[in-house]
Amino acid sequence: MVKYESFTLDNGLRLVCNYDASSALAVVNVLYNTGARDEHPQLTGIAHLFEHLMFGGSVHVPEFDAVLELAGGQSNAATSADFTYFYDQLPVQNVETAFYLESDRMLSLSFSDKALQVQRAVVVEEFKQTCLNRPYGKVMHTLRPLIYDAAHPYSWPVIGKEPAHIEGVTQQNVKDWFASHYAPNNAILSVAGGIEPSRALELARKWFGPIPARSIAPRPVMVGDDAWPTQEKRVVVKDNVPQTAIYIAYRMPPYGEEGYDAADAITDILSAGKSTRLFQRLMLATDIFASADAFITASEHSGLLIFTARLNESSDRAIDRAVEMLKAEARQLAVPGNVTQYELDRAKNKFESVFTLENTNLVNLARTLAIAQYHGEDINSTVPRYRRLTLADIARTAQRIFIDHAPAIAIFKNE
Amino acid sequence: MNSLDRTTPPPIRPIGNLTLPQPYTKTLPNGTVLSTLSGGEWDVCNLAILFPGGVFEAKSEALPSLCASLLSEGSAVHSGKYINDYFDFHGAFFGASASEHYTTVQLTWLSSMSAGLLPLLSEILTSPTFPDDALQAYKQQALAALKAKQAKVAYQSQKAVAKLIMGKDNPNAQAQLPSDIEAVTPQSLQQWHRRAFNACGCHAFLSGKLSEQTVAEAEAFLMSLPSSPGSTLQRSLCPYVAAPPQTVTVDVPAALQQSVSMALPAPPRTSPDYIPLRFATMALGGYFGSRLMKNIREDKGYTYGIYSALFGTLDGSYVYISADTDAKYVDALIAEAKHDIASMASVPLSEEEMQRLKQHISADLIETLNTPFSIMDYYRTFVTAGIPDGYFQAQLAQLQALTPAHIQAISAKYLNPQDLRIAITI
Repeated sequence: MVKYESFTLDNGLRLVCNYDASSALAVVNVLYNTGARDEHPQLTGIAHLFEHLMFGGSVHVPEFDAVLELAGGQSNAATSADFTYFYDQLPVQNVETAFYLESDRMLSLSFSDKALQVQRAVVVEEFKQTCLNRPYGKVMHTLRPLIYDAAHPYSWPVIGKEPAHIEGVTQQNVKDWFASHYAPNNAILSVAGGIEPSRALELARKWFGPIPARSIAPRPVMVGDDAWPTQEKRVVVKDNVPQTAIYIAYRMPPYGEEGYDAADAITDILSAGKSTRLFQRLMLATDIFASADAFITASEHSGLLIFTARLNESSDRAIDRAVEMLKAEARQLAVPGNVTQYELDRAKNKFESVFTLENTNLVNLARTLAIAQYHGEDINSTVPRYRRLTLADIARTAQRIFIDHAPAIAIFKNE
Repeated sequence: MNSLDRTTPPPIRPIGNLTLPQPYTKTLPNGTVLSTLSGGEWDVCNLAILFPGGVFEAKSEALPSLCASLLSEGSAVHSGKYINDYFDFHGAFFGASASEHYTTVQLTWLSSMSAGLLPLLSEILTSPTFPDDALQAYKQQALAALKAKQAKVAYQSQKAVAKLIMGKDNPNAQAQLPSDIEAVTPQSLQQWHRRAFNACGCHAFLSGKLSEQTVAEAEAFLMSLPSSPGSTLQRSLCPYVAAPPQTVTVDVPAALQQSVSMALPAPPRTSPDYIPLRFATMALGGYFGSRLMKNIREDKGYTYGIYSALFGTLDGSYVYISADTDAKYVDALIAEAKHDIASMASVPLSEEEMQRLKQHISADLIETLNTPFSIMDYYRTFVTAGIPDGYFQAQLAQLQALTPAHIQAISAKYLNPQDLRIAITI
């Protein structure tokens, strides 16, 4: 049971606090309700580039990290299609420094030309390191346009469609992005660790309270969010890869809608642990699969349920056979009685275990609290909700995802 | 809003005295050492067992690694399917891996779902069967993982520089070959298991929210493991033998980015120079505000990340500096890195650099205290890396007395650009 308290400031900033009296550390997390899906299709990657620029100096703080490090703190940030979040971890006696720093960059950045120039170069190097120069690094650039309409904001990866988009970002683009997305009324502040909620509220009021609410850009229409494909698409990408790899992506329900938790459970039934179907039936019982996995992208709108596999063979026949075996694993989940109560209970136990272990870490706990607050949920309801899933939920969701609709398939093989 | 002064940061309070909680350690009648540390808000327990014997003793990376991976694939009593199913159904995480001189077996579980887990762990450690079909599947996975690793420029430059700093015959410097993996058989696994999984000489670490019953069950489990006093595996040390300073290139076809790895010899963990050199290495490239990060990433934009770290193992120590970059920046990156390394001796840390460094290191030490698991991880490295007792408090004491002159003096002794061993992918 996670204990927490929630507050809302007059400017719309929401605050959620967990208190662990035994901790010498505190984590301050700011989640902004913006991500890559808010980008213009011709200016992709700016949400993530902006995350970098948030460390490039704010209106009263030329060097974010210099001040944080003097307080004994460390920070990091991440951008997804839906959210951007920033966290600071520091000794609890210096926690006010995080409120000071985060509030100053929420108030306004310094918008230095040098920071933009350097961070554009850094992000382009990151693009090369994580996508262009890494085996299978172009998977999301391949899969997303196959399964989403070109106008759907999930059709491009968070890093951006191409380095040229990042290189083309201007200071005016950056200022516009800040003005339309970064504001107290579009953010959630979460705090975990050794700081009492009353103190966190006092500091939030002091530092964030004076920041005025701002007008937030409406989020783009998710074009074709309900139009899941019914025709399978397949591409073969010839690349410098050590092994042939298969990616099969199906569309799945948005967070909070019927079928989301069941889709999550389906991937747990398939691949969470060595006892599960993909490990036992594909990896151990055949010679074709070097690895096989299934996961969801955990998206606010219709995201993806993805199968991945690496093969020990690269012939077209082996690839076709492997694809059919993976699709068969998917399809049979829709047959009533195919999944057993034991498998579902095992997935539920594993889910509870993963949820608990992840949240022993204060950084994870602060982020989980912020996202639960965004969803208007009690963090303690997550495991019980998952535990209420039934076999009928699994079969019905599998029918909708795997039988009623078709996947996009990307094969990566050596040139 | 007007009354709030945003030009002055809140006052910084010194981190003050930190005390690393001591686990309770005892030796069981069968020779197993057990350390226990209870704490934390969550009903979670972790048991980690270090068995002497790893890659160096096996003279193979593949053999001890595959042995560890296959432990849960079948016992004299139960099939691999049953064993993995039991762990998964109880929400438990079983893992095992081999490092230089140890094999580590770990189990993590929720207190509410602990029934039968430790007896099953005892069974798989005592009578693994290493079935051939599972071995074949794991070998395929290992071969695939090796191929994927070999395709990475950072792996290639790191291996090349390891040869220069550790000596080409050091097992850590040698690139694993597919034939090493292919050579592993059920028989070789059984032989290795008999040699390495001896309760006498192993060290177990139990942490989390512990009840008396949990500790008693862990003791009973450890007492159930086979113990052969007098036949504990002897450690095969392989002290580093560095080649003269030089630059080597490694050809990685079709790479869009290149990787630069650099290394310098360093004193052993037992040397009085080790802790000051660790501080100097952190000031050079150990955190966001360090000289390498500020200059090469934040000022020049040559790389997504560059870092330096001091590694101390049972076999030797070295300073390691690494970055991936575009081919057009390689020469400039190396030149700037050499400049920053040289600056450690010639340009004293400013007052602000000094303060940031001290606070960063203190925060790093505080993070160790975050959970009972992180504290126990720290104690485990005492065993695996040969860290002397009192290392935590010694760092705190030396940190408080640290001055820019200390950093300059230690840098002049160890951080010399002309001593660099450099590997670059092309």
